[in-house]
Amino acid sequence: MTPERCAVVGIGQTHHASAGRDVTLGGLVREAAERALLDAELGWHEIDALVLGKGPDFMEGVMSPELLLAEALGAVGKPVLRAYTSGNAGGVAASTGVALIAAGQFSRVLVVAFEKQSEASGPGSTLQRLPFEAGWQGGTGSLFGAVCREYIHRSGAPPEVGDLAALKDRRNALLNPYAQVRRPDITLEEIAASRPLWDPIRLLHSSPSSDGACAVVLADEPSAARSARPVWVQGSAVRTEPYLSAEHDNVDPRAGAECAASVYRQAGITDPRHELDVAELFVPYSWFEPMVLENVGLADRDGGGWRSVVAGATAIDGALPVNPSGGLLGANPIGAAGLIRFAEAALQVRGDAGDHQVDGVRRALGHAAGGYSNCFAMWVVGAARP
Amino acid sequence: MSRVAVVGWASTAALEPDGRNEAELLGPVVDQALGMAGLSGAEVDVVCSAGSEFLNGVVGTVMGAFDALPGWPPRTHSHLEADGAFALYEAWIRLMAGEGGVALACAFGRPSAADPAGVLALQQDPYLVGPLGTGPRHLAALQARAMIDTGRCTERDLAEIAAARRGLDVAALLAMPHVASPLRESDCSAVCAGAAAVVLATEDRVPISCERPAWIVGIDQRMESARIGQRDLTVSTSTRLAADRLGLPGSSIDVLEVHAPFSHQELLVIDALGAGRVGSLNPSGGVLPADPLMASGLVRIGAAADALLRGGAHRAVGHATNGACLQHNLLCLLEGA
Repeated sequence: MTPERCAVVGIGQTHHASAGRDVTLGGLVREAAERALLDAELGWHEIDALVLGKGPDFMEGVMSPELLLAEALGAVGKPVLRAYTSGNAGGVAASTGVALIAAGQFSRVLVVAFEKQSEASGPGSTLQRLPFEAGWQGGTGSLFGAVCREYIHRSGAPPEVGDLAALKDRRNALLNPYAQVRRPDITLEEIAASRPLWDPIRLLHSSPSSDGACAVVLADEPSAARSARPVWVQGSAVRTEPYLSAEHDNVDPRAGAECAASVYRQAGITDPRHELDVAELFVPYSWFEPMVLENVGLADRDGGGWRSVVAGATAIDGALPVNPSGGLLGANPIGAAGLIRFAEAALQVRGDAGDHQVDGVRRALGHAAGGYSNCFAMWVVGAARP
Repeated sequence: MSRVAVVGWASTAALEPDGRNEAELLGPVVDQALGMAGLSGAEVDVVCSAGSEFLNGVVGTVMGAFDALPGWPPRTHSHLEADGAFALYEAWIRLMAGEGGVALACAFGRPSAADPAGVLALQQDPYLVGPLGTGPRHLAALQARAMIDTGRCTERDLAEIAAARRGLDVAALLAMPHVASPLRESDCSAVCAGAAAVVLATEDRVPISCERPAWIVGIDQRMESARIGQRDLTVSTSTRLAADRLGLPGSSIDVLEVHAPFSHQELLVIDALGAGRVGSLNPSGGVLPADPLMASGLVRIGAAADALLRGGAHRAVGHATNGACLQHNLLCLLEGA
């Protein structure tokens, strides 16, 4: 059984904002979807099926929003799937879309992911107030701070690594017209002196709360043949592990490593550090960049991640640029953030990333993560048909 | 593409809150379903789970439920905020896409932790409709009234459906007051906690011990508008679209399991299918007597497959729905060898 080949033929996203007060939920997803369709030179009637990804329904206070958004997404009369699996929803949505094509069921699938955090309290809606647990008000950051400390403990990373990775992403975000956080005069000193949140995470190491949406149009081979610039999905995978498992390692989760190994294997990649030209990684706090680099095999597991950051290897003109878009530090509409990484990877392959384009990209990695470092989705996209 | 079959299933429902949490609801049915299939958790390549954190009342309940599932070493696991039937659809897609040979589709719901009618009202437009607090019963009553107005059915017809599913007397039900006219309590499903699991296998991975796999001939699902006023509520156009795609109109079905949370919706789904013959309708009892939200649709598919797995039927259809007034419908056509 040979899965059908799948290509990205359309990409769109919104101008992300801390509060998109000019649009409803429907308006937000519609904006991204219409840009993707325009980019694909396709009409709504040419879409066969849809996947909607987003984070917890608590974020907007709307249950099962794929129902509410049916018309905004042009989904009436069509099959629709909702992807969640936590904050990597956007990545999982893309993976579900690829599967719909690969299974030979549909020719063109629209994948849309969004989050509109201004509708409710983002940090508040991720707090678990369980009746049998002590009250704590830390949100996700307090957990991830501990994970970063463990990484520092294991790898011996010096304190400035978080500052350097943040400076790189914040400068890259200035090159991305869709980024929300733009600080033209940002300095290393300013980042290092910013307010501590959860040691070692400081305010300017952190991604913002965002409203935003992203959409991609996926196509099977016959439909892709009619596209001017198809970007081929060379590998796509989802991996999840139980976060309460005794084996679960928050710093170097096996699900993340195996998800990466799967997409590299599918893409025929044996040396990802040299065969990938750029990576868009899910880095909600800058300290995660070195951790993720090691987890997905883009750096040695003995601190190679932080040494890459210090050496500037992940800069936009480095040996392996990471997050030329600015990544999550530029905007983090949670449910959409994973799909934005996937879409940015495809833009790089197509050569359409504008001011944040990396030269000569033939193959790129898109990475999404969620939960308590236990849920992952990734794809490898390239110019060459698999 | 490889054929995919249902090889095992199980479900549970707790009509009264019994203290079981999500993992405790889900764990045993996963074990039972795998046991029926003769497979171990280690053999599961793909997990697609479903539920609703909103109904459970706590963000991240999905993560807690993962503990009840085959999860170590890590595997392909996707979670949907939807009825489990849509997780089964995704599992079927992922197997056909070559992501593995054995998949587990499962779902759980514990609406007893919240006010289900109040939560389901949050499926409506949050700007204009949501503030009115229109819950599923209000909207379903509008639909039932529209059907009565067109002459499709009477309140007695609805009571007869409710009586058949609940094993009660029609006259006694008609003597009861309305909860949302023209619907009575007996016309509305008994919302409860529960879980379901269905095991799928590709042709080369069907266990030898499974003598009568329930082969999935096709699954189709279609969406309608959320704007009640823009739909003809007296027909289920999305069910009809799916039925047409599966070639069901005019055909013979041995067993039909309908996910109708309100008695009149059973008529709507049967009308939309347009089957030439239905041998047995809702042998499981349907969802009126027990409706474990988010698991109910998956139970219908499991129950439809059950008739084939145990022998005696050749062609079965499971129906599942999501949203108010049958907004999103799925049909799964199964056949014996």
